[in-house]
Amino acid sequence: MNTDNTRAQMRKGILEYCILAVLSRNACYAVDIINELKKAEVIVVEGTLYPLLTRQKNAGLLSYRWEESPQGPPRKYYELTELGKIYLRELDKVWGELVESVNQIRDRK
Amino acid sequence: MKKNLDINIAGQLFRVDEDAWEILKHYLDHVSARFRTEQGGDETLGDIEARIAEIFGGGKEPPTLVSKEMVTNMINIMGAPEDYYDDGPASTNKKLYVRKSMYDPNSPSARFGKALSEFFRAFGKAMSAIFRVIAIILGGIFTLVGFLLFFSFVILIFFNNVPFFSSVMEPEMTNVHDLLGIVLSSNTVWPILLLAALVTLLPLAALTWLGIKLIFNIKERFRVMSIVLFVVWIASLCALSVILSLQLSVYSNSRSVEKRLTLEPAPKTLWITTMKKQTDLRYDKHASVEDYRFFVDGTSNRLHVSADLNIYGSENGTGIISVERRASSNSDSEARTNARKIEYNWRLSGDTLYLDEYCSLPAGSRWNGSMIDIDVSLPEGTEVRFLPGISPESLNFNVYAGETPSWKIEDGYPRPIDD
Repeated sequence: MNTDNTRAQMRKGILEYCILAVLSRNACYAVDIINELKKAEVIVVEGTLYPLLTRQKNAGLLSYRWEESPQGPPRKYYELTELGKIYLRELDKVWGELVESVNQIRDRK
Repeated sequence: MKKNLDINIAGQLFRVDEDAWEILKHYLDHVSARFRTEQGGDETLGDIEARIAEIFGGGKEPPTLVSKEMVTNMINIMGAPEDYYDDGPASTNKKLYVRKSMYDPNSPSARFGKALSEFFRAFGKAMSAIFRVIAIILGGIFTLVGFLLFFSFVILIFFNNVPFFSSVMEPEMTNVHDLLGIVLSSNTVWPILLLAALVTLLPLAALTWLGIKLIFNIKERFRVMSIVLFVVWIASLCALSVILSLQLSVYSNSRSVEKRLTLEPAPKTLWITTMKKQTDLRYDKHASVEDYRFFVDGTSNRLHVSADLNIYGSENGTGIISVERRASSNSDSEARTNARKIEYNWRLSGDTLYLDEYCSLPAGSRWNGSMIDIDVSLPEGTEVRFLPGISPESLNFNVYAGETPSWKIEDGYPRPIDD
């Protein structure tokens, strides 16, 4: 049985959480976020990121500033808002509980 | 040969080859359709375009040439729009998308499209060539007609007394200055000629210029000069109309004074001779229009006008001679007074009619439509003969055509007869 679809659903569920996690360390522009997510194999194509960033920014979790680029158009540098930081702390807690719950289920003899 | 297109992505200029543009346009349309209706969709589209520009290496001078391979690589990086929300097994959808969007120049639809494109391109070129030929032909006609008329009017108005031209022109045209000096006040002749020149020559110059523009495909438009010339033309036309109206108003009312003589019995032959002859006149200026001849004697300041003789068949068998002095003025009474002032002598003695070849106006009088009409009605069978040495032409005899000096009234009209 092919596990690709299940893996995709799992990734989709945690993608927004991962974006907030990346941005919690420092302000990044989209390609920095993509590179980190690609390295962790959480994301495959870049186009996926942009609607999610817009949605999170419109929800007040992110803000951005413009910076000149050495190549191409100016870049948007995203960072967490205060609301985003609170939201991330909530998600950290939920994720910890989820992992523990899954581990308990998986490891139960 | 393939074309390169210059396009703008996120404010960056790129040069894209034709094949690459087909794929890129399809991709961007697809992405746009995906986000267009969503909240914040425009911002997402802007972010995606900015990233595409970055992938293509925007901001370089000269602009980066985007190839088909670069577009394919960009799509591999960005993914198909279908993958954006679903980060699942994207590779399958992506391949499907790319395959669908690929432009295949050998497909029947592509070939048909190319054939149609070539046809309309050739059709457009052919139509353009046809319109150009028509423009050149019309331009040639406009230029030729405009220039010839311009040239003719310039000669007519300004150079009509030059011997070379006057030898090939009608007398009325050669003497147009003198004729205007007789018909109008002499001090208005040159203003009228100048205004007439502007009114006629400006449109002819414009016609010639239009022809030259059509021939050489000149697009330049001299708006200010055109407006100025148009205003000058309108002003000239108005001024000319006013001056001519004032000058010609003296011809508004025409009246005549007639003296009639009945021939009882009518002679079998009416002989005609003249008393005052045009050949004996001394004059400084001479002009003619139609059958009338004008002679101006500057010494005596008098104007002489040729007489006009008409002979017809009588309807009731009675012979009648009618001599009518005619003149014009602003009012009927003045016109009649002017007519009475015309000096003209004639008499009938036996069967001979004595006529002056011209009438004379009082010294200092301007021509005001003054003329003499001699109408002679004769019964059927009456002969009309001019005495030897007398020219019917000098009396503007209505049936004279240079042949015999003898006529006979037949069927109500003088017919030439052989002696």
